[in-house]
Amino acid sequence: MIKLIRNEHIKIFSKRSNRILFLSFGILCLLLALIMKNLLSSSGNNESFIDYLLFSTNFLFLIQFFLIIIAGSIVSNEYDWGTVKLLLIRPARRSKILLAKYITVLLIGFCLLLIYLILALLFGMLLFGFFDLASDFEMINKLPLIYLNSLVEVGVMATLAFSISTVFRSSVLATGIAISLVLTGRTFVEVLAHYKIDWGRYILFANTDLTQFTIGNRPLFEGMALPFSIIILCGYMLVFLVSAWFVFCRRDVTV
Amino acid sequence: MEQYPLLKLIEISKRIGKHQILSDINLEIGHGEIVGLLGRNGSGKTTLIRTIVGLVKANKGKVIINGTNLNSDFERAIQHVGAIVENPEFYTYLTGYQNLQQYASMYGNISDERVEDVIELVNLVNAIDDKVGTYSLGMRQRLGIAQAILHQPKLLILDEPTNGLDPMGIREFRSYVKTLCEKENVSIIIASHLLREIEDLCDQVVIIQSGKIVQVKQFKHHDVSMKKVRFELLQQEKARSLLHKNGFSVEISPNGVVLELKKEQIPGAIRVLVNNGIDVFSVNSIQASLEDAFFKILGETSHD
Repeated sequence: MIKLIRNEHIKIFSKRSNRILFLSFGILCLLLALIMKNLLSSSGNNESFIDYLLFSTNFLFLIQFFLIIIAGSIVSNEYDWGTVKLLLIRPARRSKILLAKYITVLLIGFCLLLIYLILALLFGMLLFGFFDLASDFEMINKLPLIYLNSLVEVGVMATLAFSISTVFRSSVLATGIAISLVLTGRTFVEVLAHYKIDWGRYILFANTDLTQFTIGNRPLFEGMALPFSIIILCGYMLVFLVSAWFVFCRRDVTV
Repeated sequence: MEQYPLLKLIEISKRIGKHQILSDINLEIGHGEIVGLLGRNGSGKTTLIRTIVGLVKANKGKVIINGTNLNSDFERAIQHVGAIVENPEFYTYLTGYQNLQQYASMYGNISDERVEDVIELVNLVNAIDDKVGTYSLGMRQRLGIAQAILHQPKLLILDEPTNGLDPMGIREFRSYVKTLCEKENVSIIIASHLLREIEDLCDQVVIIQSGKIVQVKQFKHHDVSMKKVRFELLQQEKARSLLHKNGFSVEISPNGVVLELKKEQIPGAIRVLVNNGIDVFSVNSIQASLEDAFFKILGETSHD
């Protein structure tokens, strides 16, 4: 299994377009820090790197786009290239191969989050100062929760893209649908919540933001609680994964 | 010595939508046999190959490889098989070596030396560290053969293996296939349009048409079988009656006669003709026995 996961990593990281993707991710992190620095210094505020660390979490959703691109192509590329034929005639069952790919996607998502955190810390320390650290340190305990929540969000969206890519064998469809859902989904459920349309609570995007249940925030729909959201999320994940596995393991390969 | 036939297909049927692609295919291939698979495009040849390697699941029937049912114990059954399915497609942005590594790592017991040996065998030593995207079709074909034999399979399945090879490459390939078969007792299934290729290499040929096996032909005792020989001469009628009297089966053809006889009978036939004053200008064996069979079968069935 570890060998299979290693193979998937080699395939992803040797590809030039993916390398550019990861590089642009790093550049984006830098740009974000530079822009913030610029805005703040012109307004004369002195912010510490911890302020920046907290501020940067507002852009964590960007990671979803990067991971969706990877997740949405990891299976369909094998079909597009025809390499799936040589991959599936090895002594590894199809379910195992798909699992290796899925784990690879999740690992890369985890790494992207980690890199984002490290870069935010690094650029924050380089560009911002060390003022008022004592008061800021109290706020930092929010950070693990925010990242944990982001991990869930990123994981769910990657799973969506992964299963669309597996079922329809089209990376364009998978990345297109997943990215447009990331962009519109949240707004859509907010509109539903605004008009108190109650079935909105069962929509995936009403439940992906788990920070809505923390102290000081209000859930999107009245009466929603953390266990409810977790059950809904698990339900969606189950549907995504079962359909991906079912289709991948049974489908005839005719490319 | 071996208990089971290496490959056994039992009543394989496959339907896709309304089309019956394969119907009741039964086939047995022993250890060390080379079998040719002949059929036109759309005859079900490729689907049959895909069924044997598990890419396509049959609606009915069993694929048994070395005694193991492919459907119930895929991993054990498939490790005896190496295959090229249609064009060998690789990760073009990886080097040849990296591509082989991908597959080698999935078997668990392939040493680096084995990989090196295989690379040498398919003659890719100089190009193995280049990206596959830069390879010619022939080089990809050879890399395809390399990935198929990495794990020393007992059954090698080659779909159009000489596609894109130059004459030199074809010759190397042919001698290589023969060595594999003789030294390592590997059974080989070759699907090809090139009739000559199959006739030269195979012990047995399976002709498939509209999803059915229409003929299985043995080539094992190639030289003792009857063959058709054309004699180029002028006095056709006289030659015919003369030869007929001497017990040969004769037909008149343009510019000569055609005899059906064994190889060792040819000198005798020539003697009969020459002794009776009939000049023989040339003697050609009509090697197209397989081609005949192939076109005859296709001709019969393509009318319906």
